[in-house]
Amino acid sequence: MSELFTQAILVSMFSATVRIAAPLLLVSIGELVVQRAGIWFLGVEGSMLMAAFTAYFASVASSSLYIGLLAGIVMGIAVHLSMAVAAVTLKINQFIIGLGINLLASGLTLFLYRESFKMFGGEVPTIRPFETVALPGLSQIPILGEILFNQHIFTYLAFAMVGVVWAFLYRTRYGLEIRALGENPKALDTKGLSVSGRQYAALAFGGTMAGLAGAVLVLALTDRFVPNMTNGRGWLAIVIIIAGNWKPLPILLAVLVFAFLEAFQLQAQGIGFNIPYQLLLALPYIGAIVAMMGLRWRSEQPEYLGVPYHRE
Amino acid sequence: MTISDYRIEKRADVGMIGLFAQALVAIALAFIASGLLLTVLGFDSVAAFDALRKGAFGTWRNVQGSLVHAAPLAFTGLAVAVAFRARIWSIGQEGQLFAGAMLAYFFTTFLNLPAIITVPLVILAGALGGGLIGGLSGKLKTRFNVDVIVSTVMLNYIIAYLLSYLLTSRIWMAPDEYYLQTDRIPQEARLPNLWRGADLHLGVALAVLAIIVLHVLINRTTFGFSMRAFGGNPVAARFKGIEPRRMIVIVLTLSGALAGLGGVVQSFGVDFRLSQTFLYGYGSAGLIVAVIAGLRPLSIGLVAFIFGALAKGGLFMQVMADVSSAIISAMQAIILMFFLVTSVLFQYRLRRVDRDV
Amino acid sequence: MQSEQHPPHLEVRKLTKMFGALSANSDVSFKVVRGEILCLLGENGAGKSTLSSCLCGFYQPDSGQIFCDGVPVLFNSPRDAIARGIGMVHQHFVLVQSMTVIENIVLGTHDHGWALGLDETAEKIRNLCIHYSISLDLYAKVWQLSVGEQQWVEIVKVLFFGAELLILDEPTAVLTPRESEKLFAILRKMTTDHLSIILISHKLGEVLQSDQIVVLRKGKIVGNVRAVDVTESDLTSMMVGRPIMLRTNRKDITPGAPMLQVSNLTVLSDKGQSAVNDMSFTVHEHEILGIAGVSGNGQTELFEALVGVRDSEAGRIQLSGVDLTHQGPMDVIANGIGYIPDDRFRSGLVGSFSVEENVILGLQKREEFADGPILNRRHIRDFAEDAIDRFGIVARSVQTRTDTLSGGNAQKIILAREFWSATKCILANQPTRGLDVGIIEYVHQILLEKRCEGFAIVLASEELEDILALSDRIAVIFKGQIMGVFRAGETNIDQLGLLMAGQMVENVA
Repeated sequence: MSELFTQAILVSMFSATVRIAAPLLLVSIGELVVQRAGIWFLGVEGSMLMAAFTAYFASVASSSLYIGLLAGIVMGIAVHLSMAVAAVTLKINQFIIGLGINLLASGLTLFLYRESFKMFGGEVPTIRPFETVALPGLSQIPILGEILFNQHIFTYLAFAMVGVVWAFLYRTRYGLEIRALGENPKALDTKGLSVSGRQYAALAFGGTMAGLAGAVLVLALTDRFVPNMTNGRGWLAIVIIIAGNWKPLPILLAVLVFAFLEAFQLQAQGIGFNIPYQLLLALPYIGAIVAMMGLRWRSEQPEYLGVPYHRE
Repeated sequence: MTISDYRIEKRADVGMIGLFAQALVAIALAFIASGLLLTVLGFDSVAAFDALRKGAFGTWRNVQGSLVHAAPLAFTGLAVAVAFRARIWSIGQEGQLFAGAMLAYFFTTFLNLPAIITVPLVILAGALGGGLIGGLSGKLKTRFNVDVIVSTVMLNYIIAYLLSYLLTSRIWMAPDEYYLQTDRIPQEARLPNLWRGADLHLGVALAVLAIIVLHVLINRTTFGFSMRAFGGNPVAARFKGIEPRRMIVIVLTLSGALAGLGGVVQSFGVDFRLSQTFLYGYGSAGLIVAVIAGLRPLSIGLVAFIFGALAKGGLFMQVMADVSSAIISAMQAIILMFFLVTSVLFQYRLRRVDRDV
Repeated sequence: MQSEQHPPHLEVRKLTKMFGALSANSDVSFKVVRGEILCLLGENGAGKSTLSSCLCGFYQPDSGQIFCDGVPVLFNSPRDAIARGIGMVHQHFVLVQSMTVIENIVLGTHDHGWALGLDETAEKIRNLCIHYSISLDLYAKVWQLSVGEQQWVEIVKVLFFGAELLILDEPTAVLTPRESEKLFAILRKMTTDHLSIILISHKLGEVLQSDQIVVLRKGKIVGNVRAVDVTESDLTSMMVGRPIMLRTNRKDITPGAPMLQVSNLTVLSDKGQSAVNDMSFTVHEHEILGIAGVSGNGQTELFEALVGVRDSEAGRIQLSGVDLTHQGPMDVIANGIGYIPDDRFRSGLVGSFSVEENVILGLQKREEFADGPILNRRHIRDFAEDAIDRFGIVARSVQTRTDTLSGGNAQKIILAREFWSATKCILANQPTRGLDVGIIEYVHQILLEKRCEGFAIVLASEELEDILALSDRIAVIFKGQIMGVFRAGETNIDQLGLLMAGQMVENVA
């Protein structure tokens, strides 16, 4: 195998890693804020899936990627806010409501997909996905430019969000309040600050991120909706948060590891690795269990994660 | 003069009747909601639901079909109930169901024995396959502190890919087979019908047996007592000699074994082959069944029958009214959501307060 | 009238608060004059905490009015109360353990907009601390502080929010006698700064240090007196409704053979530090060993090691010659040790269980309650009904859910269970915490009965009066070590108080 060929493969693999990382990163960062606010939301998978379907359907119906994008985000927010009503206001068991949202999403999108299939005359319409944006100057850097700076606009946004969320959580008074919510919501309540208001806000942010992630999946990474296309990414986001110890930068690292595993899987077949592709597909999931086995730290897990707040 | 005032109060306990009413209200609301959805999509929802009813209960044959559909749901429902009663949040029923069916199928690929030996072996293998995967999650928790939710979800995906590999590599698939599915299971390994000409097979009887056994186990035995104590308050349970590690592994193994049996019942009693999609969704449906049944084995039998009827009727509805049967899994989730919301409302009651003025 | 020129700092008129059909406060009225300390005195469940929660906006009263400086006010949330200068120091601190002191103090303020601006704020906080002679490391994490220091954080937090009227709920419960003295010095300093204090307490000694005392019983005010006009026994009979003597009639019995022997025991805390350090003591038959100490000095870890749920690092535990070191709770229970925990709903009972289930919790495999693997429901029911009779447990039936019962009735379930299964030794960790006087008397009496029957009893308590009244010998625990062991009658509260604060004292028996 020639050196040039090897290099081309590596570049395309790392470039794919960064591309694949974007939705995973968006949804993980959103879920981080949600969990820091004390809400243990397992329904991100469903939220993303609903957003992906909505984004696809809206962009096909309107022939506009932007309307699709917006619709996806709105759906993500709507699903997350329904969690807010159930978990924060009605104080239903967060674990079960999250699972319920996942089940509802997979059933409903499958049904609506099949029905819309009929509507579109038995054919699956494809969309012309968002193009990548080469950053002027930076994308000219050899190798690195191709890997990092010739990506979708959402990829840049996802990486920027890591910094934004970090600064918010650790450098602002509101971030301090969100962190305090997960640790001891009563500390806010006794000072007359609304616990539920902040939890709604955190979920709205998480919904924006999950909606964006779902939309990116359909509108940038592929050209059509496939039932259950999120394929466990929402669950991976939850693993990533545990592995990243509820901190933005380690979460970024964990996202890159999982994204690399997936990119490797995509490339491995192309370069004739003689491994069953299912093993490669299963790698992120096996990796998640192994990663958690090695984890000895749980220090930053919010104390009140998943515990509904009652004033008593 | 006395005037009456109404005050909203929290009740201490909803009780069996309250839970029953709550489930009925949730199912009714789910029908209304999905009926609206169908109407919006241009279907005649009354006709569709009528087809659903006929499909589920129209003839004795259809009722038998509903029972056959209910059997695996009863098993996964029981699997969920066992774990959740101990407040161990396992959602690995899907993977354990496949694992049970896969291990059982593995034995049939080389065993050539009469049915009288093969059938019990197949059933045991199903329990073993599911139990091993459940126990693995338990060990991962107690030995390495891997979250049970995470390990069970990840194992669901891993097992699905393992089956996919066994099929596409044609280890379990005939070379000329087009669909991703195994060869048909040999006659002597299939679960026999309960009587000549019946649609009900041994698996349905096994499900009824499992419901009764679990009812006794949870409510009447010292083990069930320890398990419920652990679920109610693991700290107090530990102070009173209930070892948490042992409890977690035993409960998850038992839960996995039940799910595994569900896999055998469906694939050896109905499908007669394994495929990537035949078993899909029984795990999550079982979760909904168990939650709506209040994690009580006897109620799980009833709710599983209702859900089995939905599934059976859904297939008929697809043919008769051209409504995709995928609506059924959406409806199951909608029932769960309405059930959760009504459970909050049912916690309160209006009480009349008489005041002297 | 004087009050018309200077309206009181705070006035409560006919305040009533209901929980369902239960009235927690009814028709409560009183006034706080600026610059004075008012004490709300009452038993557990008298409605003190509910009243204070209404005053700080945490609960909304069902009827009645609150006036601040003569102006009627309506508190819809703690925010409104804070805006009126009312600050609350809760009994169970509401601090974020994983955050620093300064983060806890500024939490909820927006004096720098979005920016965190901790360093700019630090100056203001330091000045407050200097003014009241409070020393605090602003950048330490809260979990690293002692409970006493956490109390200062709570107080500074409230002052930083600009409180002029401070409500302190049982502030001395977690303090050593010396720290309590310091607290009162700070409170006095505040009153000279024209701040007012509402102090909630059930400790008669410190109540008398305030200016005005309001006594609550069953949600109603039963007395409103100046502190200089009353004595401790006046207050007790007001509080309980009858004169009460917490002195128990303890018979003189000569202790028998050694029963529980602990030698050189070292136990680690959850954080991996040694919580019990090379501890040795012996308890004999017919003997109560009192363990005095401020909580958090290793009592919990000691008891957990003794009952087998926390493994020891070094040392030995023996019960009449049988080695119980490294044995699990099952073996400890089987050898005749009973345990009465301090946090009964956490480590003693399963809340979702019925009375009959809790009363045999841990005993379910005994032949009295099970035939092989099957529970004998007949026997369990009979046993539970008998326990309800003997211990006077107030429950509708044996099938009532335990978490609907009061603390006293819940404790009686534990007593019934543990006294049935224990044959040699009783470990009691704060057995009367949070209970009413009537039940406290009952618990004391039953412990003394068990002493007569020959049990070896270890009793830990924060209430020195209890320890002095019941114990044959008293061990003082501080930072995981025993500071000294005394015969009852050869020591007094002052001496024990010094040892509890870690001061070494001569003449250790």
